[in-house]
Amino acid sequence: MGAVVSLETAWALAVAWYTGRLEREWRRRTPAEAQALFTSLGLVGPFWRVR
Amino acid sequence: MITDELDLEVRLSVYRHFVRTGRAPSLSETSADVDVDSAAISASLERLDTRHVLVLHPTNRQLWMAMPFSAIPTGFRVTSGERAWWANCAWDALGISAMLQIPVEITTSCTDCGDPLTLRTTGRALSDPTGVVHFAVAAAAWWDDIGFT
Repeated sequence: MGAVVSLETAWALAVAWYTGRLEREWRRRTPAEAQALFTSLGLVGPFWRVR
Repeated sequence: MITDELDLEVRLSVYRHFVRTGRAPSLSETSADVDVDSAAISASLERLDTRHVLVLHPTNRQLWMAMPFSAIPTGFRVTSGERAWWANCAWDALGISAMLQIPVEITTSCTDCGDPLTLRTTGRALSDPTGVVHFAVAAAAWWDDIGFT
């Protein structure tokens, strides 16, 4: 089944996820931070629950 | 060099190499760049893999992914002028453009019908927002088998 996401949302996700990825200060998001990001983009529900 | 500092330098070195060349660095290339012996680089890569900062191949332990980049050819080719990379998935293909803030052309195929697809970005936005992305694996299971995901 999976989830179908608009290209616009996928782009917004890519920007949010990868901006700053090359910086020295970058660190991996915590599960809570990842969940908050998904929620902010309207990616909600069981499919998007990180754990 | 203490391990946290070494792991940071290795991560930065690996990513710089991917950005510049479109491919994964060899152990000796990273060793030369960070100025640390290959055994220490190898150990550092293992720690970074454990932390999901990058991904080593499950059996040969070579660099497999430094998200959004793939070390091996995939169904997502990302080009910008003369530069080219392989991305792990649609999200990562868009991520290359977003991360580097460059216009790209993403060449892939429709997973439903198999037709070739080209997506373009300006580096700051999609050139054409029409379309959808299918996520096959639920978020909680992404790291169960990251290669499959």
